[in-house]
Amino acid sequence: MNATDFRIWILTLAGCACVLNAKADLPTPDPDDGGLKLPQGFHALVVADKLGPCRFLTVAPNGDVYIRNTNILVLHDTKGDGHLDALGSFGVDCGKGQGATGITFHGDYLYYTNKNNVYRYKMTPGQAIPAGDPEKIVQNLPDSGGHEAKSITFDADGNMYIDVGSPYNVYSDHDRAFGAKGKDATDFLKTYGGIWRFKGDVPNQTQADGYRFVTGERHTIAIAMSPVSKQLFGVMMGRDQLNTVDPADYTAEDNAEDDAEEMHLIKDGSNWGWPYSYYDPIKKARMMAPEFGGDNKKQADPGLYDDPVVAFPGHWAPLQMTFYTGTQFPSKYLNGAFVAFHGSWNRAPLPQGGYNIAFVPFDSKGMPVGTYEVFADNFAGVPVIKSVHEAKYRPSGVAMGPDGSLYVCSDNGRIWRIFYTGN
Amino acid sequence: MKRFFFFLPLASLLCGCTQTPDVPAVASPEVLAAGHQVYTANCETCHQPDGYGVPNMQPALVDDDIVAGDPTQIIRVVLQGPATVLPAGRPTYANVMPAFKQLTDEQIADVLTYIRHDYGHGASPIAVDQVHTVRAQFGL
Repeated sequence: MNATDFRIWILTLAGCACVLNAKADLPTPDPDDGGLKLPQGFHALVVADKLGPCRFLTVAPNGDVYIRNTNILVLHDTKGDGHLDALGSFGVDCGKGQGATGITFHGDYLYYTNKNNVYRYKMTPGQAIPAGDPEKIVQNLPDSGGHEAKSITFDADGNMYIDVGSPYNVYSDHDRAFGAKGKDATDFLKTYGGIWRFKGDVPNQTQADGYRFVTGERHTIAIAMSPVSKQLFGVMMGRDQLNTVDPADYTAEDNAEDDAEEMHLIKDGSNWGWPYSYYDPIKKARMMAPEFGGDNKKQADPGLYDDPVVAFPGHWAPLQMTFYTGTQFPSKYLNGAFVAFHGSWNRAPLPQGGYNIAFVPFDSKGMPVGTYEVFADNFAGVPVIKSVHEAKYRPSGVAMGPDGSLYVCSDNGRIWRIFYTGN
Repeated sequence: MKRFFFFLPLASLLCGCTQTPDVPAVASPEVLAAGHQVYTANCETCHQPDGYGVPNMQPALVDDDIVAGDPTQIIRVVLQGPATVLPAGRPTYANVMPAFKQLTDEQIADVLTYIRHDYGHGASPIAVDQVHTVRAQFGL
């Protein structure tokens, strides 16, 4: 082979590679797709790993990934092969654990939360790590040491929505205990168990400056706005331990299957029924909680509380949600939602569930059709999960990149980039 | 085997200063099986079938010093709940364990014997009398 032949051979080989990789700007996936099970034609690459505890992530217009841990960590593809390298971290008062959760871009700003406050940094194109101090937008939101995570979502008018979760499974005299009796939650719900609306750009707001948009919900940090209907949707973490509280009326299997994770339309003035009720996806009915006289048969009075628009299996633990607005994926995904399910602990003796990224189809009017499908699976790395400890990875965040790839992170610091090649 | 059986009573005598006379030196298979049943019905949903708990939500029992430690303290944790019994400065978790005083003395002795055996490096069994004494002492 002379030099000219060699050049032709190389060019031919490169051409074949381009044909094989129909979208030439996509990276080469891992041979095992990073251990994930994906629909036909999708592949994945582990783009970063061993980042430590992580929660939500978001992707900048230039493809840099910003992920929440005890700071805000910035990752950039320096080599152009899809793998991300840490550029550095920044942030003040970032919190830790569940408190270190929320992060999102909005306009020229990067917003983030700890368990009590919302901050934002002004971002400058070409400058991955912002200079100076952040601006505090909301301060002193309550928390009581459980389900304290806060996330941030904006509507089309720039209003900001923050959930203040409940530290309790159910508001009662002995939470999670056998025989627990429910208490009147009216006062409690004045500051907890709701979604509050704030101005997105006014500094130093308190909860009293906000408007309680939704009440009667336990904890909802998977919130996003449909790009079509401009409506906000949220997936609530449902209650636990029906059979612990009332073993006479509920089996362990009832507890595992009969209390849904509920996706709701977030509309002004709605009440989702917590702590008085829960939604049973098998009976397709809103049931009274055993702490409030429920016996696995008694339904809540009709019309009091919203029914979910999609009911997921119990205890899957929804964390981050994003709508898909890209064109890389097949068109069925356009304007549908992806939800990161952290995975259950409260389904024993049945196998645990969740530990996946679910896809929720939406119709042409931007409303959910009522179903879901598991999109990305096998984060746990074992076919059957009996105990949480057995799971290798638990999804904690999902966000879309500028090229339409889906970025997913786990709570122990691995990031996958999922993309569609059609092969 | 003969030497093992010979030394077992001697070991019991040497360790006897920390145990009441009624506490068996080793857990019987029957008690461990009964304790496992109590664990499955009352504990495993939070502490998980393998005893490793759930990060940030409920603590692991495996290798836990409180599980393997002072019998009176761990009996009180079950009867009164950890928030009442354990020091305020300890690591805490999102979900607070309720009191399980509705369990019988025998159920509590069995389940504590089971978790101390399986997750607590074979810490000493808990006798029914010990649970009875603690329950009476604290008016539970």
